[in-house]
Amino acid sequence: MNRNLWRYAAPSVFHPLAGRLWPVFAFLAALSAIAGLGIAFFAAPSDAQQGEVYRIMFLHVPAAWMSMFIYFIMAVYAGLGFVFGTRLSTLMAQALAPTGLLYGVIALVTGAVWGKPTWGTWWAWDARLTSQLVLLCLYLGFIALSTAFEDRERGERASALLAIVGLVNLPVIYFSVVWWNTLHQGASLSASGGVRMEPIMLAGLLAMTVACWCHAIAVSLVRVRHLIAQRESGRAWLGRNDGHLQGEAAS
Amino acid sequence: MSIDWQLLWDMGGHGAYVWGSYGVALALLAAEAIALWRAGQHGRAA
Repeated sequence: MNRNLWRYAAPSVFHPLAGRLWPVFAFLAALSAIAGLGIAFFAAPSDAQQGEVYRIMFLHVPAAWMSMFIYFIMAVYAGLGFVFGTRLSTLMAQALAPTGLLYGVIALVTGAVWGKPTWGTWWAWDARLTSQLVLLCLYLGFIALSTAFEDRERGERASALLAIVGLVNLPVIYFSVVWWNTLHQGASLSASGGVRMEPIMLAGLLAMTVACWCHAIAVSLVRVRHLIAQRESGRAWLGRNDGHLQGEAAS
Repeated sequence: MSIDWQLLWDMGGHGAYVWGSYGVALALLAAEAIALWRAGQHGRAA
């Protein structure tokens, strides 16, 4: 069992597997997004305090969660690559970073757009917003560092170190609304505080979260295939896999 | 069930905020998809 799992750590085995998996996740993402958006705009009632503008939350909250989850997974992969020197871990970390950055930007932009009519300002140097901005800088730093050195391995090691050190920012983001008196509201959904929203709103939020998860997995699999293809170009197995996949697509 | 599209578009006077934020997100996601597709095309050509 373990031996079977470990074989997927080889780029030559993972490359065709990712090629078969990404369309499945893309399809699931589209399906969940249709369900989530349907609930968000047609089934969920207006919020008693915020009115209709709260519907931005169906996008903002999953995007903010994804930016943190992806960072965590990226740092774990980068750490594995740093410690064990596994090629695929490093490539997975590099494949995840742009998608994590994208979700971070979506979270900040949608948060600002929600903040204007709700708080009366686009931006405040609030602990939650600032720590989320730091996360964005960490993503940018990771992406920049991994390509900043002529010696690729040095860049990969430096970016892995940054990713690991940056992990400290995740609890700061999560607990910022507890530790400090912030403008940002507290969690409406947490393990300790339970669920403080209508079940239909929760259903919409969860459907959108599944959509974001599946989207992130799909695009990361496509990106890691490109990275593997770049890194392993010229290897015989890559030509064989491409031929195999083209054969599959044709049949 | 009939949908009042005007009401949906208006979003209680916050239509620009709601649809604007979804529009920006969609544009960013589309840009990422296009960039990936182009990277794939470029990789195949190389």
